[in-house]
Amino acid sequence: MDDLSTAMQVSASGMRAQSSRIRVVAENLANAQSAAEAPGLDPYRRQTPVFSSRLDRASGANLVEMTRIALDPSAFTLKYDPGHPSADDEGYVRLPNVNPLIEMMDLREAQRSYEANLGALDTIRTMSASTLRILE
Amino acid sequence: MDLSNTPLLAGLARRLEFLAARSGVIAENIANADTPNYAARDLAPQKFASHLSPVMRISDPRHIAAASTASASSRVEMAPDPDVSLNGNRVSVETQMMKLSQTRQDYQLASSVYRKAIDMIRLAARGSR
Repeated sequence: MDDLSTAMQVSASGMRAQSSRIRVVAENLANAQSAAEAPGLDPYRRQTPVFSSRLDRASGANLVEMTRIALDPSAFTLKYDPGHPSADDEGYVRLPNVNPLIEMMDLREAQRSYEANLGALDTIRTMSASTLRILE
Repeated sequence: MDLSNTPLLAGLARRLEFLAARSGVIAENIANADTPNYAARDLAPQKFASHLSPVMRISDPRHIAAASTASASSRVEMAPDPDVSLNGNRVSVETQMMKLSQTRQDYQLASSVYRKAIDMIRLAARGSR
């Protein structure tokens, strides 16, 4: 029974990690057009979640967690828009290095992983319910 | 008579224990399905011989029976799935879900048999009324 509740904790940690990942993706998507405030400054830089597995000493299980949020070092996209307040001398505006297509893919992957964890949780719940039925 | 030490019930309890531990390991794999450089794990399969080895054999009626059979915890071993993703992760969610549903079926089987065994003991205690 203890093993089963540990397993539920592990699945819950997986769901927590995936929902923080969805949060990061949502931030990226929301800021896909956040240009720099002034000509010299950087626009919004894409964030990527970093997962790692952590040993929970209380239960002895490998939980997963989002340890930090890294920044994507790839180049910003340039857009010719001389009327924009943060356009440089040649009329180019620096826009974030966020590709909505990649973000949507990432979102879908996080959703699938979340569903997998939910499925595991459901299976483990069925197992502990079948243990409790012994008492009937 | 200690009911939990009858060979059938003790064997089933060990089986349930093993399956619960295995579902924990599989849940870890699924939770870490996106962790870089994480490889899937699994428990070493339970052997039939492990059900047969009693802790201490009672050869004389004056011997005191061991209170409980030591639960030999199963070994966790590496079982990386064949497909490697770009970040070095070796967990295939499909395979793990399959293993988990297999474990659930085994668990339900063992717990149903446990229930039947208890029902039989209850029948013997009550008589057919």
